[in-house]
Order: sequence, then structure tokens, then C-alpha cells
Amino acid sequence: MARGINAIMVLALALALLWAIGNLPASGSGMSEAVAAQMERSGVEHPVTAVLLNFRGYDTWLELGVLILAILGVLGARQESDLATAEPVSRNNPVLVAMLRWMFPVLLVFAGYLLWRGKFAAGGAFQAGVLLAAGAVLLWLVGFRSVAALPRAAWAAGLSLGFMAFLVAAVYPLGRNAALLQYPEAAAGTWILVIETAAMISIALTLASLFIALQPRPDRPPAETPAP
Amino acid sequence: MTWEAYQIYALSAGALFCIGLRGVLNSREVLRKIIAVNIMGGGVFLLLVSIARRNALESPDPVPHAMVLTGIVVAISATALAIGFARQLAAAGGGVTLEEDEG
Repeated sequence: MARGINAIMVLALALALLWAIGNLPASGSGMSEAVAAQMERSGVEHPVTAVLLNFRGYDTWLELGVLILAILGVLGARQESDLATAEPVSRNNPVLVAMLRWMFPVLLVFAGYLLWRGKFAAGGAFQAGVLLAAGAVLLWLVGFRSVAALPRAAWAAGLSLGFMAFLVAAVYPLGRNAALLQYPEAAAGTWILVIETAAMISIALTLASLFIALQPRPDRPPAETPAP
Repeated sequence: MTWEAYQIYALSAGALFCIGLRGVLNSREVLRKIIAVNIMGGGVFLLLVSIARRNALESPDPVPHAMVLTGIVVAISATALAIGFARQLAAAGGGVTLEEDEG
């Protein structure tokens, strides 16, 4: 019964969406003009990077907070506070190890390139961070401890680095009679590069940690079952 | 009525969203629900980037693009958190299938 009602509701929503999309104003430029008018003051040349790191910096800031909450939630659900007990399955596969020896430096260089490219074209902290995270996941899959091998303090600092960089960038202008997250205009490019580097490290570390924290650990008994 | 390219993408986005929503409402397995929410998210992202491209001659609207980039990372984190909870649910003996809700 409930399924039938659900299907009808979804169908009604689909028809409403069809009507709405069919009636979209054809020539809406949205926020393009507002962004283009302020590009010179943003400190970068690529409009998406300008929106992410300057005009709507709080979006990216809070997103880094979401990343921290996600890794804390995953670890908390496992009743752990770090990756100290995580152990990769040793695969002893010489082909994978040899391949990674070639690929990992290339991944590092390419992540650096993507970060730098964000200033004037598609690229930036997200893409670079995801690439680094992929490298860390590959290391884990080949049998290295990857980001779980980091000292606890360095790991925790890395997770919060992006959020903290944004926090500094948000509070610093307040002391200079400017608005929250309003970087000094002359140095906006430098501010953005520093924040992006910090964000890249945090994104890479968090995504890799999420992957590792979600791995099954067959050698350990499952979490204690609460009494019913 | 003729359909512009962006409208075809937007309609696909709407279809994806509805398929995902049906999956969330009608499936009882936790993993299916998680995947369905991701399909809904994919629909939202596709809608945002397609309506950002309404003016075919100009460069696309950067604001929806930035929102999608942020959204992708949030979607990955939320999915990881959901999978973490599902895994704990299974480990605690709760299984991964929810009871049918009455009413």
C-alpha cells in the first residue's frame, strides 16, 4: 500500500519537474555577470576558483568541516579515535609494488600541477586532493599502511589543516575592519594559494582515512553487541 | 515546443532524481538506500551544471559549478559515514534490511 502511494508521489514530482524544466527562462545568465564584474578583485583568474575560495569561501570552509565530522563519525561508530589499529592485508605482489613506485611520484607531481592550475583553469584543491587520496588508497591496497602510518598528532593536524587555514583567513580580516573572509585585496592570490594547499592536504588525508577506516578487519571480533 | 540541449540534460537530471527518490522510499536494504541517495545527488549535480549552461554562447555560470564541486565532496563524506553506520549495524547483529514501516 505504502509503495503504491510512494510511486504516485514520485510520478507527481516527475511531472512537476518536467513542467518546471520546460518553463525555465531560456536566457538566464544567473550569477555569471556578478562574478565577472568582481573577477579582478578575486586574486585568481578562473571564475570557479574565485567563487569557491573567495566569493563563497564559507561554502568551502564548512565543507572542510563536514569532512572532519565524517571521519570522526566513521571512527566513532567503530569506537576508535584514530587509525592506529588499521592494518592492510599484505599482498606481497611485486608487480603492484613496482607499478606504484612508478605511479606514485607521477601522482604527486600531477596533484601539484592541478593545484597550481586552479588559479586560471579548471583544477584546484578538490581535484588535487582527490588525486592524492587516490595515491594514498593505492598505497594501502598494495600493502603499505599509507596515511595510517602517520604519527597521531601529524594525522590529526593534517585533517584539520584546511579548516584551520580558513578559520585564520576568516578571522584575520575582522581585526582590520573588513568582513568575515574578506582577504586583503592586494594579497588575495597568495591567501587563496595557501588556503588551497592546506585544503588539498586535508581533503586528501580525510578521504584516504575514510577509505581505510571503512575497511573490514577480519582479525578483530565485531564490536560488542549491546544487550537487547 | 523545442527542447534546448540544456533542457535535455536537466530532464535527465530530474529523471535521475526521481529514480533515486523511488529507491530511497521503496527499498528496505540499507545499502540500496545509500546508493539511491547517491543517484538523487547525481541528479541534483547534473541539474545544476545543465542550467549553468543556459546561454550557449557565454561561459557557464561559475556559481552552480562551485556548488557542485563542494557538493561532490560532501556527498562522498556523507556516503562514507552512512556506510560506516551500516557496517556497524551489521556488526552489531542488526542486519542491513529495515522492517517495513506501517502507516
